[in-house]
Amino acid sequence: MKYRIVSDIPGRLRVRCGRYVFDEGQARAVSFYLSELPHVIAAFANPVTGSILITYIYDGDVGPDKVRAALLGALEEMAIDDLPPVDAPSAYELGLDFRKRLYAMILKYAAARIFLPRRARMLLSIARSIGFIKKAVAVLRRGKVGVEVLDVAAIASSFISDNADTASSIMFLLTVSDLLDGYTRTRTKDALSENLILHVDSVWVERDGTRENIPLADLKLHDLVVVGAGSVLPVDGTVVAGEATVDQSSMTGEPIPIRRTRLDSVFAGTVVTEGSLTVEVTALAQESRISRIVELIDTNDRLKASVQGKAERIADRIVPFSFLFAAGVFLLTRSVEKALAVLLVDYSCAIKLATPISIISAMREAAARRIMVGGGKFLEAAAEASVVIFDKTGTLTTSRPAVSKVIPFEGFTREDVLCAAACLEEHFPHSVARAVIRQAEGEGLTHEEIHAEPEYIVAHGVAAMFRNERVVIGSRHFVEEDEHIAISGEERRIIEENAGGDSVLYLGVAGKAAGIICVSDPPRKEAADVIRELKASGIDEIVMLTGDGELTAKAVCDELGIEKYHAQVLPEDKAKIVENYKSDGRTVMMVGDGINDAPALAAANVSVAMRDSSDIAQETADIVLLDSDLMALITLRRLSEAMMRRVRNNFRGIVTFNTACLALGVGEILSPSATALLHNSSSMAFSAASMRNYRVENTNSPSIADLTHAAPGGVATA
Amino acid sequence: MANSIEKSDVLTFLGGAAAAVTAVQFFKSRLAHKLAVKTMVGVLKVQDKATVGFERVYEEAQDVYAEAKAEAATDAKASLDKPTEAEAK
Repeated sequence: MKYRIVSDIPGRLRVRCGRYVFDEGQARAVSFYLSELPHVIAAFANPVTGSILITYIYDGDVGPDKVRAALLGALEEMAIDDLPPVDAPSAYELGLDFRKRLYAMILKYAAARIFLPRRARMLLSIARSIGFIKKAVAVLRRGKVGVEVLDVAAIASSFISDNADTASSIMFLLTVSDLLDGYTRTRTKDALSENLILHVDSVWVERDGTRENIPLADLKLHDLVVVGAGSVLPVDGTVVAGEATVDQSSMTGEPIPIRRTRLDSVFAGTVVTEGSLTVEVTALAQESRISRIVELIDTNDRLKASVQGKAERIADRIVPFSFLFAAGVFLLTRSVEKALAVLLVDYSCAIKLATPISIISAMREAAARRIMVGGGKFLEAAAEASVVIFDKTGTLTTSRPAVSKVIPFEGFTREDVLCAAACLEEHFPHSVARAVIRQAEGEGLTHEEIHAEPEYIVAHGVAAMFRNERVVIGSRHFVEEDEHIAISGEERRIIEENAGGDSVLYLGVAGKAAGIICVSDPPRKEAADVIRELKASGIDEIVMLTGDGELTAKAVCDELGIEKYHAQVLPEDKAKIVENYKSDGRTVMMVGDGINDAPALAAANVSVAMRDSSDIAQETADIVLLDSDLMALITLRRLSEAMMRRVRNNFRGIVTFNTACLALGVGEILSPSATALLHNSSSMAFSAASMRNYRVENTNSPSIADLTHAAPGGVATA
Repeated sequence: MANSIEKSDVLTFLGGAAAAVTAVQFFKSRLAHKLAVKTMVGVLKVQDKATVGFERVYEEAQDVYAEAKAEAATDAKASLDKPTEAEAK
């Protein structure tokens, strides 16, 4: 392919191939082909101008000259007709489409102003106004007096005062505003969807008698997916083996889990609460589910930030007052021009445009920083939170606890204790369970599954038949108080000597205490810094909840600087603690990871789960931290505060600017055309400004702005 | 009433009617269709050229901005590498 280099700096290259060299479909194929080449960050082929822009990365080993030479070579050899077609349009195409429409609108407007005589322009304007009148009538029919009615009143007043050109400018600016609004919303939502799709899950599948873990994206129809307790069904399917109770509330709203067995249907997004299932995939629903989620985020009142709902209500309520004020000005001054100025300036359209764009942009920024947010409401709550409640195990502590000691009691061996414990714990996703299994595997202890399916009692422990004996493992409360297994004085002394700050699992066999397993659960290395930063960001109280004993809880809190904690807490008590804080009027953020945190996560104003949490915690949580780094909480807090600041600043800016326009228009310092131009331009400017990337300082994760830069010394992409 | 209608009014009326009939015949004719198509093609060409023009301006502005940023980054890096007066002494 022939080309001419038009711009060439390290990290960025633009070439022109000539118009008509590639059409829109081919441009997409060229962009995709080039973006897959090594070192290329992004490639955009523009079918309108025939140019190709490539941004690339380079380093000390492969300098910019080498990369550039390779890219130019690839361009020369590229045969456009041989490239495979690409279906999905990119964000770049969205921008190009927006610009083409904008140019067409500007051309038509300019051509009409230059070439058409005045009367003809007036007739054309009247014809155009019909569309606006229809919208206003539709709004009035719904019993509302919305901004559409205000716009038509302004247009009509312009015609009445023989100011057809003003009417035409108003309609032009309104159409451009609508175009910009549609573009910014679509672009922001698409970026959000793209980030959500990158949230790659993996699933266990059964193939040829063996189980393997594969990425969700590789799943095919009729694959056999294995799902255990605490896990979310990733697909729709039919049960081929196993039995389980499934919580279908996310689908049906039914809060009581139902029993599912062979030949029953199950649905994506529902949760297995007990048991396990092997499911044959009948539908892969991921992408449509994500689009539905993104649409819901924007429109669902339950998920909308209350500040957005408030902004929309205020905006609607202002409109009738604009009419009254215009009527008042007319009665006092008898000047149509002054009354027109009042009608032309309304606060509502800018508020209604800028606020949701600010919120969706914040969610997009969060997604780019690997923080998945379920709705604007949760970012708002994260900004307002005054209490943060942490679960200990797997949240404040590492997700890879390790067995530090295995202590058998009389009549049992160390191997007996560890083997029995591993057999019971192997089905469940809790991090402590995984530690026990790793230890057993590391010591070469086999654990053939000769026992019945374990029962899992949330947070208390696990019980099952093992080698014809009833075996239980769990907290002291579960083993001693629920299972009535006595622990002698000597055994207590051993436990106290060895436990230290570790979590302790108690094992009972056939009604007798068999031993303990101490699991060392060190705090995450960033946990202390996160606690300190949260306090500095205005969080009044940080609380830790744990099902572990008092000693363990105190040791962790002392290390991390947490003043308040509750030890030996049952799941329902966790939820009650959250409710108590809420009833004091505090906004509560709960951070958790396990099945037993789900009630507390659901009770909080905003709930956060880590990526390596149980699926049920991730499904219940409002926000998921994909990188399992607690520092993301600081990013979340700062981002949500930045979002609220932007919304408030927008509101103040819109009111101030439009009030000034109103005053100048009523004072006849500005003509109605100028007032209309300033008002509509300001609405567009506030909306465009609301799309800006958020800069969140002093965090580990890169922003969207950082991610779109090439190597050091490189430049931003288009 | 017949006295108030002047000759010029009648001529104007007849002229208008003739113009209207001619216009209708013209717009139905093949020539008018060809002219309309030619005009539309001209308009589309203008729109196309204008779109390309605007888009080129947009791209060139992006290139100028990117090059300016790269130059500023290079200058900033060079000034960091330059020894200070104290170091030079």
